[in-house]
Amino acid sequence: MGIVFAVISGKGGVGKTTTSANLAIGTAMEGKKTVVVDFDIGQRNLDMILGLENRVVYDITNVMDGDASLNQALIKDKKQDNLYFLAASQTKDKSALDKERVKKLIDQLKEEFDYIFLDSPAGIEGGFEHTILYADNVIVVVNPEVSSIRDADRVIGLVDAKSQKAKEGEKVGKFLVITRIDPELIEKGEMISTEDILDILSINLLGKVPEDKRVIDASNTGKPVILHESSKAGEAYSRIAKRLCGIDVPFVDVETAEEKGFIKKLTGLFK
Amino acid sequence: MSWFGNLFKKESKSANVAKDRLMIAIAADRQHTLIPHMDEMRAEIIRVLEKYIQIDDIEIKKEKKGDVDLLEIEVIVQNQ
Repeated sequence: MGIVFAVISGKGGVGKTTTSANLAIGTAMEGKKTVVVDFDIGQRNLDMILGLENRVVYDITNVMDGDASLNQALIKDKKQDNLYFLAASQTKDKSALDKERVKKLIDQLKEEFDYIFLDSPAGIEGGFEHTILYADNVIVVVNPEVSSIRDADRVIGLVDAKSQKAKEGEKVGKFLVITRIDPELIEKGEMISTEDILDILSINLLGKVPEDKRVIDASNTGKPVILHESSKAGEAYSRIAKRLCGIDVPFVDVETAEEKGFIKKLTGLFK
Repeated sequence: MSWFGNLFKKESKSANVAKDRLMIAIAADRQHTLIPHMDEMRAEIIRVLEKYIQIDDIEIKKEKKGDVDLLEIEVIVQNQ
């Protein structure tokens, strides 16, 4: 039976889709048969991030409506053998919000895959509920910025209230991924630190992703950062993916600015 | 503010200000977040009440009074 991860956030534009795409590629690279599903119904985006937009024939709504089989709609990634993708529909359809159909689809995916990532729409509207309803774990994506953190607290509070697993008395795993960490701002004291975010949200840390200009380049070309060589964000995602696969990867300091870090190391030698 | 004022303002780093503001805002937010499975509980309470009286609506509020968490359920009875 596969494990379902819902990738959620309170605020939009914090890097949810980027996180879903990179973690799915990362776990596939670790040998897990992985599927990533775009649950942002009516606003398809993940296909572009993955560079698979030209291969979408059927989408999630077609499958739930019974117009296409799951195997017809699943798109196999060109580069990763273990990676599959299911696109969101571009139109909002009532059936996409039908709990029973969502459950049926997720049960089917659990039979076939080890890891299932659901890229949730932002906020707490319809589609969000459906991604956490049948999730085993949620990955909360947050930026070190007040509105993102505040909204994250709201969605974390909603997870147990809306999750089927929590209703059955089981625990839903909740993990935090902090993205767009800017070391220079942190050193200047102008960006909230990881410790402070964890203090405020009281949730387990899964990973820290530094700000990386290559994320834009990656979305331009449809080749996620995890596939770029020597990309800081890519390396961070690869560490997170390994953690998800049960590998003990220590947290790396992404908060110290590079040059300063070097000088600090130097001065450290003389201490 | 003058450059002089700005000089002193730097003392409290904006990240610390952000943390303090967030702690307060989130504490207030959490007070308003109701208990899990609220919808189900609400529906069930309505079902039970309807066995005995005719009601219009119920309102559920969570409050903190000192150290005590209060769940206030207000039942609006139908006018005969």
